[in-house]
Amino acid sequence: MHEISLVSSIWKTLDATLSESELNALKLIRLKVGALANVEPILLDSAFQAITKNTRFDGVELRCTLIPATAHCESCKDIFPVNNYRFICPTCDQPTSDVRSGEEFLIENVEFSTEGEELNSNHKPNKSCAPIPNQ
Amino acid sequence: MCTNTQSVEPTVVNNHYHTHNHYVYNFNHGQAPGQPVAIPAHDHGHSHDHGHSHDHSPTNGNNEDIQRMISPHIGQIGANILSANDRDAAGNRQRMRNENILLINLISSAGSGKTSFLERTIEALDGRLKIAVIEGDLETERDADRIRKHGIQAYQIETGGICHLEANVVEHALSHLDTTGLDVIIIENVGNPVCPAAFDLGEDYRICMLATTEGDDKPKKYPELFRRSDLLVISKTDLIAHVPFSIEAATKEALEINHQLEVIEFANNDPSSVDPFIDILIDRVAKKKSHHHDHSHNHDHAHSHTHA
Ligand SMILES: Nc1nc2c(ncn2[C@@H]2O[C@H](COP(=O)(O)OP(=O)(O)O)[C@@H](O)[C@H]2O)c(=O)[nH]1
Ligand SMILES: [Mg+2]
Ligand SMILES: [Zn+2]
Ligand SMILES: [Zn+2]
Repeated sequence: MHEISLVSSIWKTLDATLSESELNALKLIRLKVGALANVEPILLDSAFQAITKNTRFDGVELRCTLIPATAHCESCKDIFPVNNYRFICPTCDQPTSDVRSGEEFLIENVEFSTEGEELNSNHKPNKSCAPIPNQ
Repeated sequence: MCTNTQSVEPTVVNNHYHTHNHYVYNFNHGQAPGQPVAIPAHDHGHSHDHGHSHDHSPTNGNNEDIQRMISPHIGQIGANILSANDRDAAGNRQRMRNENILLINLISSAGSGKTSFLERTIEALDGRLKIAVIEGDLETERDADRIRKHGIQAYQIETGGICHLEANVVEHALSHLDTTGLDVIIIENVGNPVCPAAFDLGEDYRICMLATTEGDDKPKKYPELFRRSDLLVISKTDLIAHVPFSIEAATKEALEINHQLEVIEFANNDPSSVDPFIDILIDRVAKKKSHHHDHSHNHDHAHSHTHA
């Protein structure tokens, strides 16, 4: 849905962060995507592929690490995994909105190719954004 | 899938548009390329420019300073991708705080009854609060015209086919409004229950609407809308006998996602159905004016934690 605009934000961020030569050597972008980030990695990846096609960034790989949702229970002080968007402690049945993980939407790091040096060639190209597991 | 008519070519410009980006650069001392590096739990909010001095030798790591080292292969970046929008939203929030205006973001699918709800609200207020509307719903002037017929100031955003509003668009719209003496500005977002949920506009209060014609399974279909809202308006309740919709089931699902959500029912043919909302409005406006800022909404903090 809004993935095209998100891809555009990724580029703006990199643009403001990396030098021209770094951008030219860009090989891989690693994202952290929380289960509550309202981002669908598969759509993000297709938007990314579509936008970079036939540009100097054609072939740059996008990789997403999914961060599961967890929440904190006020009564038992437990941090529990949130399944199926149920923000209710499985132990005491108390509702909570104290989210402890899953809202992330970050560029974690980027990888460059360096002339004369081989990048880790065991990286599988593309399509490594897995869908958010069905919770 | 929504399309965006804006150019999104990753053209690289040299002017670094930001002045307050909250990037965190990690310092990976003697780290082998490819090794994961812990990102600090919170960014420090320092403004800085990117001098790009690529010093690969060990440097005196000062934790307070945002630092950066590019190893031969890896550049650590801890940048929140939505930071530009969050910054613009904070700007809107500050402006509304300065002017003591309550800013509301109203989100739902197209046709749920957003504009109707605003019209009935304006009528019921009967001048008790000074209100203006920012319309993001249609590309035509139609929704703004519907509002203006009630003698209310309305600014129509030309969305150009985008599927959600972003904070900078609202910032621009605000500059078109005469905000003198206003108590409330309501933004009617683009008719879409998914994308707008991700973007903080700087609002104090977020309303989501779900029509009985849409099905009571919707809270878990687009949960982020319900999780990040303060009020759920279940609309078209006059049709309840004719549609397979259980208000109880929808409410239960929505409260599982967000137990702080207030829930009201709205029927366009029952003008008194907006009364609970009028009470909320009057209460919120009074609170805002007395500088008792309410932090019950959770979108202030969305996307700002990295939880290393
Ligand atoms: N039956 C019924 N129809 C409604 C109600 N509210 C709005 N509508 C109708 O639903 C359609 C869309 O309403 P509108 O307010 O334009 O929805 P928006 O797209 O969310 O702004 C219009 O034909 C309205 O007359 C309601 O409470 N009950
Ligand atoms: Mg409308
Ligand atoms: Zn969309
Ligand atoms: Zn508990």
